[in-house]
Parts: sequence; C-alpha cells; structure tokens
Amino acid sequence: MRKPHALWAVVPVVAFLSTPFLPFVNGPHLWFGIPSVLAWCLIWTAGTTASLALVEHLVHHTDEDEDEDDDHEAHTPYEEAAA
Amino acid sequence: MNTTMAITLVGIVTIAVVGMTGRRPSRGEFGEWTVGKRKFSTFTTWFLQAGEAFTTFSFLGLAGIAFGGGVAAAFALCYLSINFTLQYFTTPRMRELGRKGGYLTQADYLADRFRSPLLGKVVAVVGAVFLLPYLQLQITGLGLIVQLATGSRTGGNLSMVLATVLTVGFVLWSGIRGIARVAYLKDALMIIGLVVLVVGIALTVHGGIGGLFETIRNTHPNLLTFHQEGYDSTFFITAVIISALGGGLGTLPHLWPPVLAAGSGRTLRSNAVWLPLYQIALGLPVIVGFAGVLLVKPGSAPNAVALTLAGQTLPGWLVGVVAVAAASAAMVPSAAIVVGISSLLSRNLFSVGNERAQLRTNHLCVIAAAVLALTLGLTRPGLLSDLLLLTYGGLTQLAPAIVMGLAKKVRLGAVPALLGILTGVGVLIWLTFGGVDVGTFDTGLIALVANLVVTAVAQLVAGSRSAAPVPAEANTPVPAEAG
Repeated sequence: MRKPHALWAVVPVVAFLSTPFLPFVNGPHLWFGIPSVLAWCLIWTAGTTASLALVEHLVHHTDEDEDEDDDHEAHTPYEEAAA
Repeated sequence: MNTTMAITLVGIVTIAVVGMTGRRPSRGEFGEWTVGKRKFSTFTTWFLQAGEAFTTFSFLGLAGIAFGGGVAAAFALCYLSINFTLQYFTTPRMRELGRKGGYLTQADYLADRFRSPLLGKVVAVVGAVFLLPYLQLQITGLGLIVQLATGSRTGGNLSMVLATVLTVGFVLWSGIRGIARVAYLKDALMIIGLVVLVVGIALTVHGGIGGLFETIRNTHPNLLTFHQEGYDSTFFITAVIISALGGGLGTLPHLWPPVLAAGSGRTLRSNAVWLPLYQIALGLPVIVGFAGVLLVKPGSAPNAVALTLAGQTLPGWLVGVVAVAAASAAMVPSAAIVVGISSLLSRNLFSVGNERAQLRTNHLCVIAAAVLALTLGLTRPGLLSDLLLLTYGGLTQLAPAIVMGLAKKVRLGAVPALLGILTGVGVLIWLTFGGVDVGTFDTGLIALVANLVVTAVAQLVAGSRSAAPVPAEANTPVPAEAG
C-alpha cells in the first residue's frame, strides 16, 4: 500500500481530535438545528467513509485479497497439529 | 402480565429462535463453530462487525452521557469512526495471517506470531478476566431494560435468566452463524426502536427536535460544550483515543471471530469504509439523552433516561417494541462475548487435544461463563463493576504486541511483549484502585505509555544480549497445546 494515499485517512482523525479546540465548534451553537459539536462529529463520521473510499480507490492492493473462495487454505499446520 | 411484558418476552424468545436457525450441518468441529468456513460474505461480516457498536451501551449509556454530560456523548461517533479507520488497515492483515495460521482466537495469533504458548496463555487469561464483567454488564443491562420498560423488578430478573439461557442455547447450537443471523434482526430492531423513540420525543417536545435544542441552548448552554464536570476536553480526547485503539487494533478478543471468518480482505476493507456511515444512527440516542434533560426528572439515573422517556412518550405496545430492540442489543453482544471467553479458555488456556474435544470443553466454558455472569448479575451486581472499569483500558494493553505481530517479520520478542502487557495492566490497576487522581485523563492511556516504555526498554536489553529469534511469516505455527 502506497503510504501517501493512505494519509487521506488521517484527515477525519485530525478533525475528530481537534473538536474541543475549535471555537466555532465547541460553543453553544446550533447547526442544522442540532448542537454544533454533534453536527461536526456526524459530518466527519460521513467524512470517514469518504476518506476511506478515496484511499480504497487510489491504493492498489497487492496482498491476499483475491482468496474469496479459497477455503482449502483454512486447514493449516496449526489446525492439523491441533487435530 | 401487561402488554409490554408479554411483547418483551415473546421478542426475547423470537430472537433466540432466529439464532437457532443459523445452524449449518457440520462435523462438530471447533473451527466451524467459531469462524464458520472463513467464507462469510460482506453482508454477514457487516452485521457481525457492527454488533459491537450497537449494544446496551448505545441504548442506555449514550443517552445517559448526553443527559449528564451533553455533547461529550459524541465521543462514541468519533472513536467508532477512528476505530474503523484503523480496522481498514489492520483487519485484512489479521484475517490473512489467521487463514494461513489457522487461528481461531486472538491468543492463537499472539502465541503463533511470537512463538510463545506462554504469551498465548497469559493473553487468554487477561482476555477472559476482562471480558467477564463486560458479559455481566450486558446481562444486567438487559434486566434493567425490561425492568424500566415494564416497571417490574421481578420481570427484569426473569428476563435476565430467560435471555441468558436462550442466548447460551442458540450459541451452543449455531455458533458464529447463529450470532450472525440474530445480528441482522438486532440491527433492524435497534434502528426501528431508536427512530420510534425519537419520533415520539419530537411529537412530545414543543417545536420538535429543533425546539428541543433551542430550549437546551437557552437553559443549559454548557451542555452544548465540553464544560461539564467529568466530561471535559481531556475526557473527550483521551476516551476517544483509548477506545479507538482498543477496537481498531484488535484488542477485544470477541471481535476476532468476525474478522477471521470473513471471506476476504476486500470484505473487511469494504466494511471498514462503509460502517462509519452506519454509526450516524448513534446520533439518535444522543438526541434522546438531551430530551431527557427537559422531560425527565433532574437527578434521575442517567442509564434510565431512554426507557423512562419511552414510557412517557409511547403507548405500551411500542414501549415493548423498544424493549425488545434494547434486549436484542444485549443478547447479540452477550453471545459474541461468551464465544470470545469460551474459545480463549478451551483452546488457549486448557489446551485441549483435538478439535472435537475442544468443542466439548468450549461448550462447558460457554455455560460456566454465562452462569457465573448471570449469578453475579442477580446476586452481587456490584462485584464486577470495578473490574469493568478495567475492561477497555486493560485489553488495550495488548495493542503494542498485536501491532508488532502484524509485521512481515516480528521484531519484538515475546518476553518484552509480555513484560509490557503485565506492566500496563499493573499500572492500570494501581491507577484505578490506588486512589491516584488523574482527573478526567483516561487511565488506560497512561498505562499504555508505561507499557510502551517497558516494552521498548526490554526489547533493547534483549536485543543487546542476543540476536532475538525473528519468526518469519511462513514459519510453522506453534500448536496451542504445546507448552
């Protein structure tokens, strides 16, 4: 996985952790009729999906992903030893 | 028996019956019972993974925090989203290693990756000890839900017994497939229950949800900020970090079977991408908690707010529906937790010889764990409550070892990993029960720092004394029963 693309996933994490330190969020405000903190967190909850979808779109996975029906591999030395 | 009680009991039985239908013909092997055939679809894995987010805590706890601490309750949205971000990167690798190594438990993974059966046994004990109070929490939470919904303490206790017996029944009968089957029903019920409750509140409060928050802003402006006692910025940041690390790095043993049972890494990544959207539903109990500030008597027990409001705003039969939804939110996590405890004990601690014998031992452990949690829940509900304080913080001490185990070559020794875990757990116990005042800073995070320092120092010392063995990924795994 190429790391620069993965950095998009960090954006919502920074947004969440900065919540108490943003005066326009952490105050007695209402956005769309609900508390600004709650609205901010809901927005970035959706933003997490957006950022991970972007990472998924940009990153070329070269790992184990194509083993959907490969259940034969489940019987491994670990299980055989146990049996 | 009133309508609410009748609907609740019928609902609990129905949940168990649905769980029973999940059984597939099998050869009575432990692996089939725990992780199916490791071919679960995205759809099934979705509901298994979502299970941890929608629990009795979502119904009772989140509304309670919003009732007492206002917007600090939004920490659940934050930590679950970060949790899924971490899971996007970690769970496909865990599943890949699990498939190659035949892991059925978290302790299998650590014992194999660090080539240390002792580490596996210690982790099994730590996991089982810290999960037991979590199991009790779900059972007593269910009793509280039914008691609040029906107004009957006897009914609450009866429901605890009935739900525990039925949960054990469908878990033994169907294993992880039964949990998956009930998880579909549970999530549907929970969303319906929460929406019904919020609609009931919107119709009750003058001006609807918008009017509710305008009134809160005018009368309790502090609830809209991080200026509540016990729920300040420090609480928010540290609770988010420790909870996100706990879930996202696989420190909770009962969350491993869904990951190991997934059909592919792509399935897990796809779920990690889309599951945060699902968590938006957790905004509903937060709204319910705020409504409690206006509609429920000040000084009421925070955990009782959601169902007290249900009783005030909904007809009896709808309260029954909400109670069934809440009961399902206790039964599904209970089933997953009991599988987590029993598999750790039978496979990693008792190290029973073959899979069929493991399954028999495991079934005995399921019954023992459930009976113990139920008995303590009925007779000594406060006994494990202190231990519950340690559950998340304690299990998060496994994070450094788990993360290092994901590498292609494990460069951390088993002894430093073990010393780090024991130090972290020890520091946590000292901070929790030693009367140390750390304010609203999460004690688990402090313990994790101590854990990391000891792990690093021990690794440096071990590295300087000898070239530590570095198990490659392809190494033959260590059988659980060895040593």
